[in-house]
Amino acid sequence: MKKKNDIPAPLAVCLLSRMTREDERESVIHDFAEIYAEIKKEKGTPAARRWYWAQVLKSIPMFLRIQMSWGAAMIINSMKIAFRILKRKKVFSSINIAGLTIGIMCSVFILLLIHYEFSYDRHIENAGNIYRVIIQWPIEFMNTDKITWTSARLAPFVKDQFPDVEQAVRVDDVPGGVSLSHGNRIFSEEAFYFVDPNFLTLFSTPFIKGHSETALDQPLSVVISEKAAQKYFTGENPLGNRLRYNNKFDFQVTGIFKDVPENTHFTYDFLASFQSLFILRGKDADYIPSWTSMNYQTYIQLREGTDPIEFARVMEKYLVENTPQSMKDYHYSLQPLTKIHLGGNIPGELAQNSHMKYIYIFTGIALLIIVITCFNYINLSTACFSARAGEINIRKVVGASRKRLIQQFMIEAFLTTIIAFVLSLILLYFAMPLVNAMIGSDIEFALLKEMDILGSVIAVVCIIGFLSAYYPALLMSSYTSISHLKSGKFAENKRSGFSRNISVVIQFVISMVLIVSAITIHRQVDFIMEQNLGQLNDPIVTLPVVRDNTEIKESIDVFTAELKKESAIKGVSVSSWLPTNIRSGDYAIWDGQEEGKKILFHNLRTDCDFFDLYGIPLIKGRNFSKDFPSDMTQAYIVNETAVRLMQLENPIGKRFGYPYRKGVIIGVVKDFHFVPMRQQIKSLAIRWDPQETHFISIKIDSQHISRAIQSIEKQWKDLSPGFAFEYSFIDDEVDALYRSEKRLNRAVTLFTYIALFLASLGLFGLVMFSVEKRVKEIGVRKVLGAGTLDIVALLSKDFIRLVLLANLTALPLAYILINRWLQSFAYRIDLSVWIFIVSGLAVLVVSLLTVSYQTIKAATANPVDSLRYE
Amino acid sequence: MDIITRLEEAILIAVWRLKGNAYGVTINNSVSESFDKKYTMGALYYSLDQLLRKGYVEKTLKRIPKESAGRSRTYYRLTKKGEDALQEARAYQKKLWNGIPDMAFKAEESK
Repeated sequence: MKKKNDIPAPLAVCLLSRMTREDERESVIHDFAEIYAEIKKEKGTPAARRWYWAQVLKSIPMFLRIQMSWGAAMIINSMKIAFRILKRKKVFSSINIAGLTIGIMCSVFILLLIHYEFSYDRHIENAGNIYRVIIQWPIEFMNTDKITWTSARLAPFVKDQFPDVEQAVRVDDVPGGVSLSHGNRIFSEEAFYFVDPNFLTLFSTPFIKGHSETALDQPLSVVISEKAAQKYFTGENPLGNRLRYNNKFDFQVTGIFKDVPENTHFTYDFLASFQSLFILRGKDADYIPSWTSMNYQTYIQLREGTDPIEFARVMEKYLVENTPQSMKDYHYSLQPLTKIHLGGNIPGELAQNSHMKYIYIFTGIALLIIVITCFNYINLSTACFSARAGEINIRKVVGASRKRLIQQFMIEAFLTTIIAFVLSLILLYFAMPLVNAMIGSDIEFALLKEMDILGSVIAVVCIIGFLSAYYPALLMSSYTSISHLKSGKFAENKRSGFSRNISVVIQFVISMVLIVSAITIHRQVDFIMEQNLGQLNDPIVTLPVVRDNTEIKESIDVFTAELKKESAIKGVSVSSWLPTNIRSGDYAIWDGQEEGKKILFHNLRTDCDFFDLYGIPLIKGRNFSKDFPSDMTQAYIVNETAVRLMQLENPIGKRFGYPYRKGVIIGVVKDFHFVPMRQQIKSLAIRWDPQETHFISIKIDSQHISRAIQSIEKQWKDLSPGFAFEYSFIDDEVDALYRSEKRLNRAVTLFTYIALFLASLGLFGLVMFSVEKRVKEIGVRKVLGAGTLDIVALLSKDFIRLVLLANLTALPLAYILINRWLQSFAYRIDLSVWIFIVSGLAVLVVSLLTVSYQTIKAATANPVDSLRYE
Repeated sequence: MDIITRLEEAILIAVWRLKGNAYGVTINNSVSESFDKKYTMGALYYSLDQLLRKGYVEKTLKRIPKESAGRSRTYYRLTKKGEDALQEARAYQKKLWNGIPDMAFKAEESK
């Protein structure tokens, strides 16, 4: 009866069938076709076609309404069931939600951390076109041949010569800080820099008061941050007021800017005009330093679209032609502003930076935690299969399609994930300051402020939700057996059992690797601290002395003598550097030097009390002594490494020195770590020169710390009233040197605990279900005479075997990973076997404890309870 | 019980009238006739769906007698609840119009 040409527009039919639900589809299409046929008979095909199309298109909204109302009902129904299931299985749900919450919390936190690290300097306008000039020179210093020091001539030169340079700015810092005063307010400041006037536009410094265009045009003018203005000028108008620099020069405040965000590669509170620098040095304001005097940072802004690599190449060629002979070997490159913070530390930098490798480590940890979290969910939900077999089977019998079942499980998983997500955000909001304090970071809970983080956080949560939901949904919906319906249970599927075992193993491998790493990092950090400070029983206080502080320098003998009278003070010494971080050096000449052999000697100028104070033993020869007046002018003490490198059999009495100060070696000290421990110990030459004092070290009695500090402060104020009194403990100085390692240590430890906790949580849930499943078996065994221990052993065996397997797998993995990290240190601990044994045992003990709670409960239960209803 | 809409009322009446032969096309024809207005099929299906959910009608899938290809069609039938609703709608209508003779309109108009 129906012919082929009776089928109206095929496209419209297709559309219509898309719009209708499966069970209605056929009759709806049929109805449409019937009317179509009628119209065709009366008015012909074209009219009928037109009618058909119009009907279909007009009906779409109504069909959509039908679909939506059914869909909504479906989802509401699914949610209801999901909630009921959550409520019914309280322990199980809370384990699940707790695991997800912690996992999401960690991932979100790490995401925030990474985002923060990458946000450095991006608030600066034109950040993409600003570069820092890096010089590569033929001297290796601090393990690299790169430096950020450039000549003061470079910036004006490139601005003049290259039209591609929009702006070029010089910056100079003041190592050791400055002492600033206004009235009776006197502080020591680190964040003081000398900059060219256009620094303010280049770094888009947000000005509040004053004229940013002209603020730094005059010598001895300074612009200050809001914070600094508060500190020095509360209740006064800072503009036009004076700040006294090192009790010697008066700077006029010409502007105030908003505090610089913490995520800037160097934060500044005071910016003085660049010419002031020359006036401070007793030169004219328009003095031009030489090419070889390299002390300054150079930042340049290139015209939009300029290729920085090509530009650097051209610039280098030009510079080599126009600079003195001694600089011919230098290579110049441009480092993008936004890459400075994660570019590692380059000597000469204005502030300590971070390193990309920490980003990788944290990303890795975040991924591991996500993996553990997902596995937890998968494990627990596949494990509780059997409990839901009845429900799933009834649904199938009544006609639920596989798609519907998957949808149901996904909705359940997402519901759990969303609850966990909300919980984790709330928890994280309150935990943020705590975590920041623990890791030593300064991260804001900026989730709602910046859309891109919120986006990525939601993406992460969706990924976790999807990963953890999809596999169980697929697995659960795939069961199709009437036998399951009969017994009301699923026979344990081999595949799911196997995959669950695999994921338990992987979880514990991850935990194990983290534990090994945490222990090793911890021991390495301890090792660093120990090596650096040796055996110091009493604390050492250090006072920085700024360059212009002639007050204290001239009366240093009085100061020392007065302090030594105080019983709480055990020793005083002055030096040009602290023994933990010596950063100046020069090429030396010595007796028996081979032709062409050059050794860079690090320099330390100090006095005769230094070695005793810091507990550095002399191996050969003698210390500086007042009995030998010539010690002040020509004696040198070198370290062991220097003797070895100079190949001197008997160094004592050998001539040694520099062209400008020749002398003899009078002693050899044991090697100590005067450069960070990532680097080898270098050659060191020490001379007696209390005039070059930058630090005063004072050893005090640990019983009377506050009394000692009070008397030091009193002496300081008497002798040097124009300069701020500031002190720190040597331990803190060392800490600052290894800040990134310490931070890593704390972060890894924290995440290790979390990973282990999550893995145990998963194990706990698994054991719970396995015990539940075997409760009858246990009952029968007990009735037949099995003891509690037998049952516990029976139940624990499988899990312990998995944990042992995980241990074995983790060993080589952990070894490779942690060894790579250790390689970055010139001095490191040995990876001893016991670290692995302890980690393995720790994992084993934790898992045993986890398992035992459930198994003991099962084993001591009365068998009657489990068998009664059989 | 909810008050049903005019269209729903018309559909219920159509289903009742058509007895065993109430399906999409016939219902649409009947409703269109009584209102003297063509309804789109979509609107009809939507209302039928609503009535189905409220439980006023029920549907059965039946073979189409004349077809050999094994096609089936959804037929609608009034439930008890549907009949009650129809009765009630009628009573309600009466109550609403009670005491207003046709005359009244004319009187109003002439004023």
